[in-house]
Amino acid sequence: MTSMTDAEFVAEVVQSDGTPAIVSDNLFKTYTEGLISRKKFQALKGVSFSVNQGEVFGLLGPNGAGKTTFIKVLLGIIKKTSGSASMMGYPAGSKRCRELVGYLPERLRIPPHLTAYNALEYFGNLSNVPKRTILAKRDEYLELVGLKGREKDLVKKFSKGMVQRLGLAQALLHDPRMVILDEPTDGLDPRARAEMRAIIRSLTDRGVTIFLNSHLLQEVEMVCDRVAILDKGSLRYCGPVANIGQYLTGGNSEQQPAKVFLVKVVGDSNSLNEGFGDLDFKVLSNEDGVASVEVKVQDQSSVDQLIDRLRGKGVSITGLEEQRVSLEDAFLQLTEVASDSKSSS
Amino acid sequence: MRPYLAIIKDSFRAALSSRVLYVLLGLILLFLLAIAPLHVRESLDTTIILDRDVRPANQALLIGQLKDGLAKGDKGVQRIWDSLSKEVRDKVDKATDSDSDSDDGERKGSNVNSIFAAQAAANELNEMIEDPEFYREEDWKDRKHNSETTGYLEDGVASLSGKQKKRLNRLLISESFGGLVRLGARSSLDFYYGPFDWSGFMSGIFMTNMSQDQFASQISFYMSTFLDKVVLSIGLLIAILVTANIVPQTFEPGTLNLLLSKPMSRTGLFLAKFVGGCMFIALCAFVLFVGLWLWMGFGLGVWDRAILISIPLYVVVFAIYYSVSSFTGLVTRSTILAIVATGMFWALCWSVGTLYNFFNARMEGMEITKIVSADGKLYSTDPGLEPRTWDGATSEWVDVDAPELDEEEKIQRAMIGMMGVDIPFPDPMGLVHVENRELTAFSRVLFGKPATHRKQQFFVNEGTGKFARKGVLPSGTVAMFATNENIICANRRGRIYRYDHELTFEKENTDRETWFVSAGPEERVGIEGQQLIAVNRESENVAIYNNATVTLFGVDSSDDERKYKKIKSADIDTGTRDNMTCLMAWQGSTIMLAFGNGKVILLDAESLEKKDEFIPETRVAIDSIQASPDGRRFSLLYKNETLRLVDVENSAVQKPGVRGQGSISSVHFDNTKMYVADRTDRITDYDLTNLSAGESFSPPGTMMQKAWRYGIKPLYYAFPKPGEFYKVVSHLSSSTDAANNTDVDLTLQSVRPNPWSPLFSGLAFMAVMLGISCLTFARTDY
Repeated sequence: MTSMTDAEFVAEVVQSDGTPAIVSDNLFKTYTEGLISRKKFQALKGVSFSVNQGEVFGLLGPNGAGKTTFIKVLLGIIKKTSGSASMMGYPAGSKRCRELVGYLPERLRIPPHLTAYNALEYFGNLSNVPKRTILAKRDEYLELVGLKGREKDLVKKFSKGMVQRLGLAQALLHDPRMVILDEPTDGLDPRARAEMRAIIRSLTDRGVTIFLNSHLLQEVEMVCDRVAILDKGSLRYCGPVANIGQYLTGGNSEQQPAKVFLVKVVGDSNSLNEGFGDLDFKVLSNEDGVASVEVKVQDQSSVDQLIDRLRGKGVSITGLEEQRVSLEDAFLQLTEVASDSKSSS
Repeated sequence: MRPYLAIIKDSFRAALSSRVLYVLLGLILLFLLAIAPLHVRESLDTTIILDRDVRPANQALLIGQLKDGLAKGDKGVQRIWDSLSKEVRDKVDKATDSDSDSDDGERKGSNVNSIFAAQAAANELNEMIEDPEFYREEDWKDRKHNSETTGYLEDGVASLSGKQKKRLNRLLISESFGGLVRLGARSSLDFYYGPFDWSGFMSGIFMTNMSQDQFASQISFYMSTFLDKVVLSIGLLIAILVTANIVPQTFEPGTLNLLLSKPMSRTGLFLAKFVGGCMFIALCAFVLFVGLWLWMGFGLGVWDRAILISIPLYVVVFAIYYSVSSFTGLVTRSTILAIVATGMFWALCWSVGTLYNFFNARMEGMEITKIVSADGKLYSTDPGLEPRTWDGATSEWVDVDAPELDEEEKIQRAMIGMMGVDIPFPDPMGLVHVENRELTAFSRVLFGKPATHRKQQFFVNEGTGKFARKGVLPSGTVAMFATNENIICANRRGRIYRYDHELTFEKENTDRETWFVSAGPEERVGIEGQQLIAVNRESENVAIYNNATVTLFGVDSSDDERKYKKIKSADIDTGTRDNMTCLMAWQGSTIMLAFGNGKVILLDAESLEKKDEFIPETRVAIDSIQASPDGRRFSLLYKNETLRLVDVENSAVQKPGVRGQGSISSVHFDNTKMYVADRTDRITDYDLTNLSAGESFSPPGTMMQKAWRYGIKPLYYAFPKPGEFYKVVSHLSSSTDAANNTDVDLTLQSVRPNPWSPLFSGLAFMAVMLGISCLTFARTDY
């Protein structure tokens, strides 16, 4: 795949499954710093995943994981070292793909001499939107982001949240097919975050693809269909939020997920061994004759069979609970694993 | 295009919001408003002020003059008399009566009466001047008028303006008093600030009694200097300060990423920022210069296009500096560093320019100005005026064996060396070499004692290899030549002298004697310059050019003393104005005249008929001309140190493929070779038949010469020269027709090889800077 040119790669992607919003294939980015010592730093190490059109996709990762680098490569702000990436079927960073994307950068700063109206006109013009269109749309978008009534105020009088909202409005002005939001709720109060989520949902309703870059896991969990987790430049996970626990327990993130149950049983060890049979199980504790056993099963019928078998061996079942893994746990686990493996290596 | 226009628009918005544009435009408007009320009015002198216009001694005579006129029946005077009030007439009568009756004792008293009467009359004369009906044709038609009055009368009195009518009355009245009442200045300038007349104050500073046209030419003369020194320094400094933050501001975190994510090219983004800064300054420059132009036009009556031309040029100069500022801002993202770098760049430009000028003058001071080949030896002279000879063993020019200069003379020489080419007195005569007699000679020009006396010491080497002092040249010598047999010189008044080595003197000190003997001619023509006389080597005949006339003098063979006499003279159709400067050379059968307008005329030396004429394409003055001994080739050495050769037989002017075109300082012909001095002190010889290069006499060069040749000169050409932009302004503001006008004397113009070169080198530098900036911007990850 790496030997392919961008054009070939894009052609293949478009042919195979329509046009994904983002396709990244074995993407590498190495920063070189210093004029003399040429210190190198690998920010992306062969990242491959794709984002479908119309979905809300979250890119997660701790600080310095390479999330913003990934976005900058997509937008052509920096150049990839190797691999390929595309947006809407166009090579990442190309002028055409930048026309189709709205971008709200992290720590946005809008020139303070502009008013909300002026800022929309300025950034709209930069996105090649005619002034007439801007005049027709600006009120609608300012209302959408909740800046109605502040149109003629100078940006320097705006709070951080208001600047962020104005940034969102300018990112939407040219009716992009995808919006890339880099830490959109960073520094916003809970109410504003809720509003931001509402805006994201309304955009989804319009068919706009949302690419969300955040380290606020709850936000992502609440709005995203799928997530990817990046750590130290490597992709740790990519798939539906719901499947992340499954993935952690060894299943395939894209296949039917395996379920993990915690079973509390009372019985001797032989009957327990026979009862669990060849299922993947682990005894977590055995106190006062009550054993806590973690067991992985594929579907409900396996659960039923397990209960029947245990009961058949005379094992009492005192508790049965499906284990769910939160995104936060998964995130921590995934990024920890990575750091552990790194430190051990 | 839309995104880039948006960026330019935003630059203005930013400038407006930071109030920089308001402040700048406000200051400019304030300045313009401050100078707007200042204006001049050209006024005609229409009043008679007794103390100013009549000398005190003559005031008493005015009355007598009036009465005399009446007695003679002068109608004009009668008109004046009739217009005087009875009271004044009585006073006049009283004064003149007492005058005629009086004896010497009462003279003093009558004088007083006359003066009182004159003063009373003067007031009423001014009233007459004010009266538009004062002039009646019949009163004045018999009188002889001066040119100004005649001019008014020819124009028709009815068509004159009120002011002109008063001036006419003023002139008529002045004329009626003989020479006693001055006519007054034809025009004078009154300086006003608003309604206040400042003429008195201004006249203390400079001449105000000039016409509007004279004033305009004065103003235009100073304008380019003013623009260069004031606007291009203070204005530029302000412009650099206020625009330095535009590019670094773009790189503030949070701003740049958004800009770069927009669908536009980085080159376009950077250039739009750059253009935005330039347009901001262009707007300020436009307001300032158009305001100045309007003020000068309406207020001072001087419509000077140099000011309008300055707008784009000023913006270009700014853009050159701004390209440096932008590049620094791009790389360092710091406003302060951008300003510092621009300041350093300015200092660098200034240093390079100053170094260039300094070295240029020094190098010109070392250039070979004369070459003579003699018996296998090569001599040269630098502007330090000392002859040197080539020493093949050391490959150096060494001083000839001649009497040393004394201390005072050495100081003089050092000073001449410092002045370079701007030597305040004519070139010394020589070196010359007499082929058949192994005679080589030169002269030294020195200020002797008393200081006003210029000594032309004469030195001869008569084949011994050693130059010996032989007194001085005849007084007023302007040219010295070698023929095949002897040395000839001529003085300013056209007298020709011949060297006589056999002369002996009784005195022991012969320093003030001369070994030159007068050789006529009786009928002389003045020689106005060293190259306005030419001597033919073979025949020893002499030609002198004076004001479009060539006169030939030949040796009278019947005369024992072989004196010269006039053979013939001819007026030459020069095709230009009479007093055009000219150079002349004569060898073989051809006399060449090279004029200040660039025209070259070849004359047949026998008939003085025109054989040929050329106008070589170069619009640069010809500095000197030489002829080959056979008269087949003539050299034209231009002031820009390029060489052309006139081929007489093929009737063509060619640019020979010699070394160092552009740095050639001297040319010399002998029978077989042409010697060309270039690059300060190198001489190369060329075969005369095919102009193939022969031997080269090139000293290794001092450190200073090397630094000049390989360091400063290339640096100067590569560097922008913002300090020279006024040259472009003055070139553009001076008449463009001058280039094609055959009446323009190029020798009077400073050498401007290409007046556009500061502009071109500036634009080239800017393009390179912007190219590097765009490349850097495009290749950097942000």
